[in-house]
Amino acid sequence: MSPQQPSMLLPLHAMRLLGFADTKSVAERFGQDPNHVERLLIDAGAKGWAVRSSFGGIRGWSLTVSGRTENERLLAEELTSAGGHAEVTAVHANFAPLNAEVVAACSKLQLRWLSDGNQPNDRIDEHTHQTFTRATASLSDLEARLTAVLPRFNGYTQRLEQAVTNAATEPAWFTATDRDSFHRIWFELHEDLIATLGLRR
Amino acid sequence: MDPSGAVLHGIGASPGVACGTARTVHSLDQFSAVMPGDVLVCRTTDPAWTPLFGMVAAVITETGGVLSHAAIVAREHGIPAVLGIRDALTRISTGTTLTVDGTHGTVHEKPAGPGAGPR
Repeated sequence: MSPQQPSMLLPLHAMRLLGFADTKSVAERFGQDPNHVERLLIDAGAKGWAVRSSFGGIRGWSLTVSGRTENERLLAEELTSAGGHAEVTAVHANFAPLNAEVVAACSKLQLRWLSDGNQPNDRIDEHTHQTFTRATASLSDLEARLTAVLPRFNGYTQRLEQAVTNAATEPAWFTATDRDSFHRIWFELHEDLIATLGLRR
Repeated sequence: MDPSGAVLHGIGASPGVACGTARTVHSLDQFSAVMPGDVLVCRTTDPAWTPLFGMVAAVITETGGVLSHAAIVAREHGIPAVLGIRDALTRISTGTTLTVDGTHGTVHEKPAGPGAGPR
């Protein structure tokens, strides 16, 4: 990452995107040193921006309301500094129709599985598969535009490609919540765009 | 709860029926109040809310629909979701026992009893 990045920006933003995560996951999200991130997270906790708790047997971090506010303040500074508001806004506008296609495809898959007895099966038709493949290809172009102004957007396309590859043999990789599935990555990207632009869902 | 008939209508976004205690959640700072088996009531959700879907019996939101992220996450967890209930956060009180029908998109009060819980 750029050495100009404010030190607290990336850990706070990683928590924003991951929701609830241990120190290792927060550090890995933007390729940071875990020991450095642990110190920043403890500092964030002292400032009331993050809380450490146990959830589902995992001890991890999450943002507080004031941490979310600080995250948005730092993101706004970052965007202004990069002069990227117009480009990220344009990418978000291009993302919206893609997002509609992806959530529709995810829903269609799930509803089919529900009607078949609540289990993902191997009957992924070519049209559905191509919807995810096309969305990933389109996202690749958008990611190039994003990373030109904000390098931290790097990596979404590669993760989506991996999810599509995994889904070829295990379709749960399209929509599952317990792994880096296509929908989980896509939801994270959507949140990233919204947070970066300071928009409200 | 709506005094006119104690039934709220929204969009049935994840099928199934479940009963539980309503828990209105306005922000991240209220997550720790959510108990296993509660019915989560909120305005909308983002990735931070996903862990809650693994512990609640059902989800009710003020925004969203069949094609929203909340609907997709609820289906993954196999819990009913009724989305798009206007002013749900003010019309539903924490502590009320609810039956959430995610197939038909309805929510109504239900006296607590031995039958409570996901079904």
